[in-house]
Amino acid sequence: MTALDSPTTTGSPDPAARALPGDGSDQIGSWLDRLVRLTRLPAAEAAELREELDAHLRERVRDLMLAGHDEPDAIHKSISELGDLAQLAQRYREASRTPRRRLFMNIAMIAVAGSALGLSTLALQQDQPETPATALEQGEYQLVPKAVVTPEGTGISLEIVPRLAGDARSVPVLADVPIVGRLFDAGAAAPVTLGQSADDHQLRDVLLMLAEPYDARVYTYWNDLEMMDLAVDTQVGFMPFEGQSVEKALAMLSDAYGLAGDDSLDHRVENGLMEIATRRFFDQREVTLVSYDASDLLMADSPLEQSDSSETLMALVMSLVEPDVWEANGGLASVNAAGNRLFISAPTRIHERVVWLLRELAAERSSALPKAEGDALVVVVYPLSNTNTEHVAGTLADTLAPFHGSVQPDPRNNSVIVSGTRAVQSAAEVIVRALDRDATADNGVAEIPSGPVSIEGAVGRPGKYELPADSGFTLARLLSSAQGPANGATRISVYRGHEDALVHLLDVAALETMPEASIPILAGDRIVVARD
Amino acid sequence: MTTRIDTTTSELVALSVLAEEPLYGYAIAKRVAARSDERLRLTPGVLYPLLKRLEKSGLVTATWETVRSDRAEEGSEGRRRKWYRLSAKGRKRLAHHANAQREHQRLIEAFLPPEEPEAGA
Repeated sequence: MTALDSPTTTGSPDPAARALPGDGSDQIGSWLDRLVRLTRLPAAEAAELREELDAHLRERVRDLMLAGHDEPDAIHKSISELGDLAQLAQRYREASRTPRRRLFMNIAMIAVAGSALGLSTLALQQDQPETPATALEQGEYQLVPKAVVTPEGTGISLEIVPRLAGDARSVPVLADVPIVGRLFDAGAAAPVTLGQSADDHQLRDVLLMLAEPYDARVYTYWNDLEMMDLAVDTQVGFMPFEGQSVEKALAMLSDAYGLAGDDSLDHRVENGLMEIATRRFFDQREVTLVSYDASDLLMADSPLEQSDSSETLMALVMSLVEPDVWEANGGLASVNAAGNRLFISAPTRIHERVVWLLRELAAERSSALPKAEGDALVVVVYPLSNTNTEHVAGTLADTLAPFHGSVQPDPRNNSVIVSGTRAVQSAAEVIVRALDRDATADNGVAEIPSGPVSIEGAVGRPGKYELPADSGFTLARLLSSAQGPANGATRISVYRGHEDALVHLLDVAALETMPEASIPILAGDRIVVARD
Repeated sequence: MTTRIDTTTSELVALSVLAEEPLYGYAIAKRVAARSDERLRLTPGVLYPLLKRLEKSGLVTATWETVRSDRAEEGSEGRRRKWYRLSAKGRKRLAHHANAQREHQRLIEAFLPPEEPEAGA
């Protein structure tokens, strides 16, 4: 038995309890310091982690010494039980980040080539100088947008470079180029609004109320909701649903019960039936495989090698489109590249975002920005429809900091001001649009085109169709009105809006296996059924 | 012999020991080892990120409590421990895991041949 087992009589503090003496204390202290640095957590959270692990190690050392180990041995063993420093830091960092934040952090910090592997090498060779730009096997990497000047105009390419410590610096105002309009409104729902508010009802009654605007019956997947602690008789307090969209009402309910991301409540309306379950439930049901032609983005004139650029593109898709949904992060969606095509298996709503992103990237490449003078710095004012300028500015600042972009919120004019190179502005523009789109969808105020729907190509009866007065019109219903896809039809494309943007791309064969082609069709949409 | 376990199982194990009573990190590790006759080990490298995740997703709640000085900790007032408690949501999740696990077990059970010594063992 050691002295640790008995009360100290001298009044001097128990050495193992207060601080581990000699080299051991330094060893544990410096190990914890390195771990905390690697997690890159906010100071308060880092301090808590350090304190928790410190307590763990002390107690473990004491237990091991009680079991007969000598002190250096006990310290060594307890540290080694914690496993690889870098892996622990990485896992902890992932566990502590909220999905929303992770989405945008990743734009700036995509760790390519297995960050865990790279990091552990770094951890062993602490304090080594920054690796040169060519070495890809060590350390962390990020995608840096670079302006590329070609005979066709100025475009943007993404380069993989090691992450360096560098602070954003402010720059003088050189120009003021506002962006105009938004391209993406595929998620916009029909303007269905509720006639009354919830006040002290049971959840079942509230859900019935939500179906009223659709004039639909309700089917609720209670087994699914029970996982989220919701039951038929869960009490719902006052909620100002009157005049709100069903999406908004469900978002408010989700928020009231602390449900976010995959846990949040979602719904589908089809053939007079409204289904209610978690987003996870619908996602699992709606996984489809879509092959995307990415040849525009994987052109040979890219400064990156072909294989690198498809890797880069896949990484970009996964980091910009809901990181949590991808297999690599424990989700159900996958992305693979072959030749100039991306094969993405994912829920429908994810495909909508992928289509948007690929279009944005393609537009970026071909956009004819005025020739940038090297890395000249410009200042751009981005007007927002989102009222939360602080939030947008914060996200932008996080994302652009490694690229030396500096961001100022301007709440009075409801805009954010970004200074940086043209490449930084290109990235900022994409992010602002993505954030602003989210805000628009939440408020249900996106502009919806008007006019009849047209369907052309390989269908029984091509032509123009008037949308019926009831809402929630779907592709399946339109196809049946048009007497379905003709023999040999393979693909269905849905184009939308003034820009005739491709918002859905479906395999005809997949329609059969998909229980409902519950894709909303809006007035003004153009549907093309093609034979390959 | 110790057994490596996957994420779902480690979640089940952690929630299960917390269902009995609130515990702090090191105590959870010890409880798991004890309950499995040292055959199952939740290493700190797995345990602490797991606890963080459970906390973030509302399955457990955590509070810091100052350790009262007992004989082993005399003279060390102010040291704190982070205690974890199972939330109602965590209890639901545990029940779900347990049911899924039982169902899986029953399914496999039907295919197990009668017990006999392993060949070459």
